[in-house]
Amino acid sequence: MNSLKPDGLVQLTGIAAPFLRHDVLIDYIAPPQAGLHEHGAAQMPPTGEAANASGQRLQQAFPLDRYLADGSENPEFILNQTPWRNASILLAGRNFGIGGTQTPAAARLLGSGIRAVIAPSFGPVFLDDCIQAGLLPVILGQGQVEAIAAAAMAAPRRELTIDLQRQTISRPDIGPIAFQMNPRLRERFIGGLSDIEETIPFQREAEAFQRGHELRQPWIYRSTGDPR
Amino acid sequence: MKRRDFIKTTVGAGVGCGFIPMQSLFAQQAAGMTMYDKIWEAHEISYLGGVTSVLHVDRMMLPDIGPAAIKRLLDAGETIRNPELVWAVADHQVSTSPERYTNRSLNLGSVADDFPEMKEQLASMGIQVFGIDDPEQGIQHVVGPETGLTLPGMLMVAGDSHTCTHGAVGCVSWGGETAQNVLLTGTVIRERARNLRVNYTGTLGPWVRGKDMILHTIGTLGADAGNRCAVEYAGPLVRSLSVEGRMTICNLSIEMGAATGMVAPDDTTYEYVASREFAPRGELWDQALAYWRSLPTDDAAAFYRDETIDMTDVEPQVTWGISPEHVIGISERIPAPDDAPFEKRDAWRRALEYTKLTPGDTIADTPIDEVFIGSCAESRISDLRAAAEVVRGRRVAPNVLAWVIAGSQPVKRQAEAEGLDRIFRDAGFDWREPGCSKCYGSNGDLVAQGKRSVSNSNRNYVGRQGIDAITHLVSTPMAAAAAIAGRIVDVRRLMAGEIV
Repeated sequence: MNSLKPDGLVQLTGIAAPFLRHDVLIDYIAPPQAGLHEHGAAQMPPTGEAANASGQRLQQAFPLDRYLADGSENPEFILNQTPWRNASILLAGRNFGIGGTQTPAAARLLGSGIRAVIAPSFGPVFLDDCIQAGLLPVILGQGQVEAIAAAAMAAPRRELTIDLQRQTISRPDIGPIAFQMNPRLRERFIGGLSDIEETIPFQREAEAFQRGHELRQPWIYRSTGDPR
Repeated sequence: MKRRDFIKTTVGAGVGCGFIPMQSLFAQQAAGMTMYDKIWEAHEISYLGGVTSVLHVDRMMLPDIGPAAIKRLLDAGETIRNPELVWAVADHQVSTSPERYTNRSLNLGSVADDFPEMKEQLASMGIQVFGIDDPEQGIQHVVGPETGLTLPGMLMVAGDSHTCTHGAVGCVSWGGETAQNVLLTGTVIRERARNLRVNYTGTLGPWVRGKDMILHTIGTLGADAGNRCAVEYAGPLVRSLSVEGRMTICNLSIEMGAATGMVAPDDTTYEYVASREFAPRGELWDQALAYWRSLPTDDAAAFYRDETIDMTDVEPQVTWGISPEHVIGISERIPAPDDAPFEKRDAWRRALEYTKLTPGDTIADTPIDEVFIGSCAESRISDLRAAAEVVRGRRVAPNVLAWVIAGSQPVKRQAEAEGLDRIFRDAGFDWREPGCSKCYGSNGDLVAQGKRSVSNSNRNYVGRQGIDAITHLVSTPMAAAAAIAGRIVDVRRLMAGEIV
């Protein structure tokens, strides 16, 4: 529904935060109840600083662990710690973003400064969400992700580089690791394209297709119901 | 390059999402095609290589906020490409209070109310908008099939993830599409899924229904079994189900990570579709029917994965955790994390911590606070009849808050004509207006903080029904039985008089 226009991404260099928990649910990244809070707020609007603070919290990924019950930052949470709070890459566990709910999980990660997630596997709904929103999902073997995470723990401030052109991941202390990505998606991320930019070039073909389709399946187009 | 050439040359290369090798995806197609592949190819505008195509969209379905999206586009001077193929219904954000018609501010967003000045404009464009005053308003996945806006053979898309429900009438349907793209281009760009078939065999025991079939399937195959798959539900048990029962099964396809779920159309389907408001009539009907009969999967078609689920001896199901795959039969005991496959032990531990259950205890007799009967999973007339049969002559347990929400205005009218509303009200249920309500809570209908809910909906995730709320997914009659007993119980025992 949002018309978020992702930025092009040829090369990303930044701090990579280890977050190797397996089976992280989409709902944990961006709980639907955050939306409920928004609606609650619609009925009883908070004012001033409270409004800003609660609005800001809603824009962050992992709000359940990022904040304590009183709304202050949870110092135990890795993304609240220096230097991880400035991370632009997340090193994740198996099945990152599993579950079927469409919460704005990818958008929340982007809103928290994360531009790419490296994991052994992703939940399918979340993966689609990443592609729509422009959050780069990179698949590496679990051993490779763990090795990068170990290096990140040992030298947290050393930055990781994801090169989409070369399809490699590297750090000064880690040789380039190759990853696979389908060419269309790679072009999509490099160009910062959205669905609409990918489909618009096919408009003339779409119109020609539809003329034939209307002849083959006229009932699709000739609706009998009462207009509303 | 044509697709068939591509198949020969690149099988096993890392295509798909770039991540999943789509081994032998198309390899056996020459021998016969699946229904999914037939419908996919009938909508293919352009094949882009790999498994990606640009597809024509037959129906775009929008929720409450849809008209806002349309308004933004129109204000920006854009043109909606196929407005007559677009429809919107107020469901997620509307109040379910009977006062919502007079106190309009109760609705947190309603297609009819937010942009009254747009009503005529949308109508003149041919966009069907079902506001709360519309006699057919309801949950989009109930309204589509019920009005005949959803028909066999269609490619139907929306933003909402439970759009897979519509596959029950023999179409291909999925959520997760952006309104902007579909509204402006009438197309989607997608990757073709692999074909997974689930064959149901055996017989259904008393009070075991579609919901138990799909929950048991997700529990058996796993919540990621449908990853990059289009699931076709097949076998004699599916054939014996009504279209409404099939919708419940297809509805939860997304809960196993599937791209979509579907059931091949048959005479049960055609009988269901015939004479629906937006269904074709006369010659067009004959023409459509002839086409629909060509849709079922060919005998020779091969599946990427073919699973058989024997339903004999499967009990009514109930979830104990925070994923629909955390499911057991009603007489079983709550499992321990150590019972889980190694890689799932952590998840099971966290799930049990959240649901405050103890391994080794029976799931039956767990005390509950709330019962929700509604949602796009099971809120059609056959579901409400099953619930009413359980509730008739009984009372909701003290301290249990129990709601029934018909899936649409026609379902509600039918239920009232049959006196089902009286049965529910007399027992102590709230009988409310159609909408998504407590399944998702975006209209403000929530399970109270930290309370335990038994729900006939489709998701038991952390916080899904409210802050810290614990959700046990069950079938509709099981939810009704829990409301009566005030705890999770076996509906079969309640009906046999073994539970008071």
